[in-house]
Amino acid sequence: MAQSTRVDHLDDALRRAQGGDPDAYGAVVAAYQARLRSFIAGYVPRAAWVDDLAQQSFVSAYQSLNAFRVGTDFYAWLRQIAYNHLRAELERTNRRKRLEADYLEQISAAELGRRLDREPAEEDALEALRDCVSRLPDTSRRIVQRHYAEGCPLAEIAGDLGRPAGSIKVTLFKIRARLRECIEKKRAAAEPGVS
Amino acid sequence: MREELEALVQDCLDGTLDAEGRDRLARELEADPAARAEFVDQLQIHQRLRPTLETSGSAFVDSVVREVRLLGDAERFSKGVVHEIKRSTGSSRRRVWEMAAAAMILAAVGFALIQRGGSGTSARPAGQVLLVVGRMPLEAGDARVKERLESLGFGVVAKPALQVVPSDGAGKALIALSSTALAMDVTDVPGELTAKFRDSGVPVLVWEPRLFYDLGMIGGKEHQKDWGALKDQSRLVLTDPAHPLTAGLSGTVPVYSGPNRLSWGLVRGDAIKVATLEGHPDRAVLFAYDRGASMPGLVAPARRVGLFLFDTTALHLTPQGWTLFDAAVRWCAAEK
Repeated sequence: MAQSTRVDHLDDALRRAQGGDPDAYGAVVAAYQARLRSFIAGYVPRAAWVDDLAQQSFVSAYQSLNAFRVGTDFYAWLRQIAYNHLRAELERTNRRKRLEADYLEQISAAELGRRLDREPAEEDALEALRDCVSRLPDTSRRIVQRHYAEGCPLAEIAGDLGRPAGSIKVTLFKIRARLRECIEKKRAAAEPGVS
Repeated sequence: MREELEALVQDCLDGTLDAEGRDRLARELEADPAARAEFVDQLQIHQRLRPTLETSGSAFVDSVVREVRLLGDAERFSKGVVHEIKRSTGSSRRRVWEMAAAAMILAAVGFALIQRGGSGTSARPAGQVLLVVGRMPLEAGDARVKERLESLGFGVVAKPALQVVPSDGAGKALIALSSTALAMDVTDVPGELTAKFRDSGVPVLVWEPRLFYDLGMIGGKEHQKDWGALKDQSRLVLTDPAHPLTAGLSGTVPVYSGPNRLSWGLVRGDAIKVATLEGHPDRAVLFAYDRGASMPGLVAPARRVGLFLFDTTALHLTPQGWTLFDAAVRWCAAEK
C-alpha cells in the first residue's frame, strides 16, 4: 500500500513537472538522486564528476520530459540518459592526448567504460551496497560510516581508534574488497538458474 | 596485489598521491591487468560509498531545481519578448517577422545571460565568480574551490579555458584562474588567457604560476628562476601580518595536511608580499597589487592576487590554508 502511494505521488509529481513545475520535479529528483548518483559513481574515474553528470542527466530528462510516458519506469528512462552522458564523457577522456597527469584517469576510464557495458540495466547498485555495508562487522561499518558518510579524515578515525593512520588505510582497502565480494555474490545469486 | 602497489592505491583513493605517484601507479597498472582490475574494483566501491551512505541529497536536489528554473526562465523570456513585439507591430506581417527575428536574438542573448552560469549557478549577494578551469566536469581540486566559493556566498560560473571569452568576466566580482586551465593538451591557451584577462577591470585571483608573468604580476618569465610550483611543501611563512590577506595569522603556517606543491613567483618591491616559501624569502606564495598599483608588466587595472594553490592541492588545505584562501577571495573581490 505504502509503495503504491509513493508511486502515485511520484506519477503525480511527474505530470506536474511535465506541465513546467520545477518544484514538482524536485520531488522526482529527491526520489531518484541517490540511486542515479550511485550508478554514475561506479563508472567515473573522479568523484568530482558524479554530481555534474547526475545533474546533466536530470536536466536532460526534464528537457525531454514530455516524451516520457507517466506510469512506465522513470528510473530506467533516466538511467539510459545518464548512460549516454557517461559514455560520452568516458569517450572524451579516452580521446584526450596522453599526458602524465591524466594517464591514470585515462586507464581507469577505459576499464570503467568496459564495465559500464556489462552492468545489468536492472541492477540496483545502491541497495546492494547498502545491504553489504549493513553486514559488515561493527568496527568496519563504523569506519566506513565515519569516513564516507560523515567525511571524517582517516587520521582522525585512526586517532579515535588508537591506531596508526596507515593501518586504517589497509583496513579500508580490505573492507572495500569485502564489499566488492559481497556485491559479486549478490549479482551471481540474482542470475537466472543460480539461486 | 603487492603491498607497495596496494599502498599506492590507498593513497590514490585517499587523495594524497602526488603527480609522480599517480604516474607510477598508472605505469604499474598498465603493465598488470589483474592489478588494474583490482584497482578499478576498489575505485568503484570507494566512489559509490559516499552517495550510497549520504543521508540527505538536498543540496543536490536544490542545484537541479535551480537549473530547471533557469531553463523555464529562458523560455518565458523568449515567449514574452515575441508576444510583446507582435502585439505592438499592427498588421504589417513583414514587420512582425523582422521584429520576431530581433526578439529571438534578444531571447538568445537573454538565455545566454541566464545560462552563463553553467551548472549550479545563481546570483547571490556576494556576486559571481568566473572560475576558469581546464575542463568540465570539474577536476576534484576545482570542485572543492567552487564549493568553498559558494559557501562564501558567491555564485560560481565555471568555464573551461578553451571556451572562456573576455565578456564572461564582465560584471563579475572576481575572475579566478585555476592552474588546471593550463594542464590540458593545449598549447596556445596561456597567450589566449593573457589576452582575455591581463587588462580586465575585474579583480583577478590566480594560482597558475605560469600566468604570473603573462598577467604582468612578476618581472621575469623563466621557469624555476622567476616562477614555479615547488613540491613537498606544506607550510608557508607570513611576512606581512598586518595585511588583511593574512586574516590575522602570523609566522610559519601549515596550509596543507601533507607535502604538496606551492605555486610561487619572484615579485618586486612594488608587490604586497604577504607570504613566502620557507627558506626562500624572495619567492612569494601569496602576493597582491591594489587597483592602480604599479606592477612589473602594467598598472593594475583592478586588484590582483597570486595564490599558492596548484591543481588538486585544494583537497589538502588545512583550516589555516582555507582561512588564507577565504581572505584572498574576500580582499580581491572587495573593491567591486
